[in-house]
Amino acid sequence: MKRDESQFEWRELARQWRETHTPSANLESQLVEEFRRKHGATAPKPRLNGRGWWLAAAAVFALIAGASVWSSKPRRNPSLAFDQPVPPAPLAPVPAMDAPKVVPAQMAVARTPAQSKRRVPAPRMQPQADEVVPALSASVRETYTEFFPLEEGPISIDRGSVVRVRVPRSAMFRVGLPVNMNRMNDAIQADLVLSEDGIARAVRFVQ
Amino acid sequence: MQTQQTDEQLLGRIQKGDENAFVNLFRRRNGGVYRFAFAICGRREWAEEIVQEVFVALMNSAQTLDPEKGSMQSWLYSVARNQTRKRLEKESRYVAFAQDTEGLDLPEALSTQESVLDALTHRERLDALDEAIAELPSPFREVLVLCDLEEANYDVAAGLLECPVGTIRSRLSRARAMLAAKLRDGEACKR
Repeated sequence: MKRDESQFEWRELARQWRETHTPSANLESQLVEEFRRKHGATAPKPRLNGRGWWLAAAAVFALIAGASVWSSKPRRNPSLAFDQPVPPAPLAPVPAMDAPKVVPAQMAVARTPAQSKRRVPAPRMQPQADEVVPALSASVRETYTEFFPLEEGPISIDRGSVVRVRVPRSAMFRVGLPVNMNRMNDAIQADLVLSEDGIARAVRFVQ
Repeated sequence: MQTQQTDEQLLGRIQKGDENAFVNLFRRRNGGVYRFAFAICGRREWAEEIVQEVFVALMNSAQTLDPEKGSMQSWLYSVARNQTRKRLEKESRYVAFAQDTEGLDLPEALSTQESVLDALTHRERLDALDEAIAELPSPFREVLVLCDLEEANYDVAAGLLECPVGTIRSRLSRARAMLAAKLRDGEACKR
């Protein structure tokens, strides 16, 4: 009898504990919004209609015609082969900043076999962790998110600067962007907008 | 009469992009996930963020989840458990139970239906329960929260904690005894 009473009391306490510990109500709306965004983005693409097929066929025809014209042109130096020694092409000037570099395709072709065996250190594509570097040059293909303000209300900055930093992926989550949970702690590049007083006002993420 | 769909049936609908199914599953499980995370980390704001992370993970992984490999409930709790542990490891200086009980408003239902003193006593009991739970060693705390407070069945707990049902039973028995002792100690200290 006493045991039943204590069980009832414990269950009652557990029920009250559950009622007291509940997450805030706005979580649901945030997640539903996220769900809509995610499933809106992955909606199936519309199928091609009759006009679309004609356009696609025209594009394929143009590609084939372009390729045949290109292949009929005489090559400037058809005898250039790997067995002939070729003087090394002049190296491109090294930029002052240790920015990612794009190697032109002809430089790779102009190397002798002996040269091609030599290992050239790959350009450093990523700055070191926690390193602050200036925003990248336009030669690197990147995609950005929009800027997300880091404080409530409109941002008014007369002067400021943009610096590139590395932040954990969880920072994307904090501004409402979807993040792969398994990679929450991975680093990702971001551009921070700093106002004159040095305070970060906005952030965008770079890929 | 429409019967309530299982978590796994809801998952099937979520995989097809059914928003209502997602909302139903969220409403059914968010409280449990929140309380489980809260019981492990002892911080409300973390628990709330973890709920968010768990359901975003569900959105991202829904297509690859296979209900035959384990229950949906176990999966949600295991994501919550992993996320909470990651946070605790990262910010180990915050491991201590730092519950922000001061400044919390009394629940509306309590303040209107019961006398203020009753409400305070009620609040104190629940705070004492929170503290006692937080003092339990982690394996016992998890089992107690899952099986007793959340009333999850032993299979779910066994799946989540990766141990046999027998171990769950024995841990639960010990956890209850420890909790009762801690609550008694707390009462004795007040007198």
